[in-house]
Amino acid sequence: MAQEHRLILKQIDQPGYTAELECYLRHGGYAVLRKALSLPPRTLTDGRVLTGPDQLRKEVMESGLRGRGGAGFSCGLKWSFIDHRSGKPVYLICNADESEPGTFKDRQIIYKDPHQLLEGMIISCYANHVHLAYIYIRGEFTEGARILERALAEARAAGYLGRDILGSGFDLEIHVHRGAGAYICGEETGLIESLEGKRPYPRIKPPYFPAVLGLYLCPTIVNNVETLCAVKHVVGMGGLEFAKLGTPNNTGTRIVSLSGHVRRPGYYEVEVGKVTLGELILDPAFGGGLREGRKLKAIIPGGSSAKVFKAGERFRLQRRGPGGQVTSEEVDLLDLPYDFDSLQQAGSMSGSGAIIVMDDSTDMVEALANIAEFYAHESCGQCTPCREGSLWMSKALHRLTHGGGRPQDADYLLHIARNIQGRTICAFGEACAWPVLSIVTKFRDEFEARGAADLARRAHPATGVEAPPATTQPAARAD
Amino acid sequence: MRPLAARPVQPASATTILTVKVPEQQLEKDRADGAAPAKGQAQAASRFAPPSDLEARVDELLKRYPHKRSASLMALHAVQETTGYVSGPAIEWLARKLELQPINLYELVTFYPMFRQEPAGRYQIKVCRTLSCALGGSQALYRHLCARLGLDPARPGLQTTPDGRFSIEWVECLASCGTAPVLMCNDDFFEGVTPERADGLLSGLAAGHGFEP
Repeated sequence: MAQEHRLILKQIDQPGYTAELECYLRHGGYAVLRKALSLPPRTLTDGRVLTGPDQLRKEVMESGLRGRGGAGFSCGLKWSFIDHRSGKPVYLICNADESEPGTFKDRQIIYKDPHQLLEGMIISCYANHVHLAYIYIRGEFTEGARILERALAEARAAGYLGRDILGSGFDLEIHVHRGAGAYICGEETGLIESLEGKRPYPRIKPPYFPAVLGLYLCPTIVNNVETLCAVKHVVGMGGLEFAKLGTPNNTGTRIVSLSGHVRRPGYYEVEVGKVTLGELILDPAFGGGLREGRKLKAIIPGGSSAKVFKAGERFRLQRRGPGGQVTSEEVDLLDLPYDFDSLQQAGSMSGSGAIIVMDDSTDMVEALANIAEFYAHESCGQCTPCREGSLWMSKALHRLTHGGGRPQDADYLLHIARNIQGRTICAFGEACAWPVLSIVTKFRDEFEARGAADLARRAHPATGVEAPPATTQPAARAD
Repeated sequence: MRPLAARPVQPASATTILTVKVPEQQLEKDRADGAAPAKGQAQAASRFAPPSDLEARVDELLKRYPHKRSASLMALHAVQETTGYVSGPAIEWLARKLELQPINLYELVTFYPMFRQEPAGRYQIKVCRTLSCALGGSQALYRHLCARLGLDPARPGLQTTPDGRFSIEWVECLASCGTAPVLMCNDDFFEGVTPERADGLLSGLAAGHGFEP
């Protein structure tokens, strides 16, 4: 029986639980920080000495924690790239620019349990010798920014921030930095540019890996809100204990944002890989199934940039057994374990953990037009294929949803999308191409039928169809 | 279709930039003095009288960063919050403050969607347009709100009622997809907004309840 496993969300939504420091302390808050700051140096059997921060980084590496922002990159590995002997200051930035369509997990933490994030951040800063850190929060979270400012002031007054934290000799300051409505600021190098006071044009890698040339060209760690909260729990329970949660290589818990055509949309924290996509959508403990009389049509499994799944698809998954033997089995879409590796093997990704469910009332052409308009609006304009291509795709889909379609539009869209992916500085190129590639390929009949019907209508204008209006918003059908 | 290019620069501010004619020697000196503003810029900036607490707020923000330029976004937010929008003279005042050229701020104001170069209505309604909200009925909500306000739902961009009371616009994902459709009214957030709830919100605002003006 699938069920939630609340680790990060443990206190959130409990009656009487507030965002105040006093409440957080009453529930055992900042105990893990105390433990982390007081770790004595440990001598290994080979004579090497691990300092407190070294031990914390080792715990995070052993926990197998993977980034919860979208790429699923190992957190411990990311930290290990930081060169502490460069002589430059090391910065840590919390990426709270939650803006991948479908995602609303970080909002819950920021609004309802900000001190958990701060504790995770302070521990992460201590582990990486960081003395100045920023929380980059999206501009629309006005209230969230206020809540964080208040929490920071409380933490400062109580001695969890500032000089000589809890008598450990460790200094740290954290500031809130607000974005201003640009999706691309969620891309880590774009975020850094934005924090430097510029347009958020992503930087090219190499050479601008944040771990080497990040904020002010200094080594910089950029971690998602949920990842930093998970660090607190890794340190609290120990890396190996954390790794027992979830499945091998997909450890711990993660928060799934469920939206679209389900009865109980919302956020659910589950052990990674212990719950299937079908359970998340249909189980009464989670999505609770589709609306009365509706059938599943499509699932976007990891934020709108992820490739879509069509109901009824089957996939061949490779699994590694305990003895190292690799087995292969065929599974139905709804039996896919919700983790990083299975979804990748199935040709998509779990991205930011956002599942958007669409039932058979959804017009896929309209849905794709909606997604394409988002990307056309949000492309930063730095690379030509993305700037022009995202707009062409959006224009073609606008035409297709407003009576001006052609049968060859499906191929036209695929052609543009293929010319964007892999040809841009950042992953936005893939993010705007993948929905088009997957939806047009898997629902090709709908695109062709729409184009053919439009063509026939234009050939026989006597049917009385009006010309398409010049300016209207394309979007998925409302009901 | 919303225009994807940034908003057009207001004629007033465009003139302001064009009239700033900086002689080469002046520029040389400015560079030596740490990018002190040119004469024309000083004049334009002097046309902006910052509200009493704005300067103090910006000074406070500057302490957060090792480099002044990093404070740009936060300072622009502060300008917009205190004066309602980011005017040309305000940009030039802020540029002096941050030791930047005005273009360094114009490029931000024209890129980031949250900044406006002209005033909006007293209550600014932002309806989420993106997929989950669209699946949840945001189109019907937007049409309903526009009908109530006497505005055109097909018109792209921000529109304001003639009495200057309400503005409405589409925005991209507001990160609350589980409670679609959602909208923001100024800084406040409203979830699961049915047309009935939207009516309640509008009449509450019109009657002067719910928000401090």
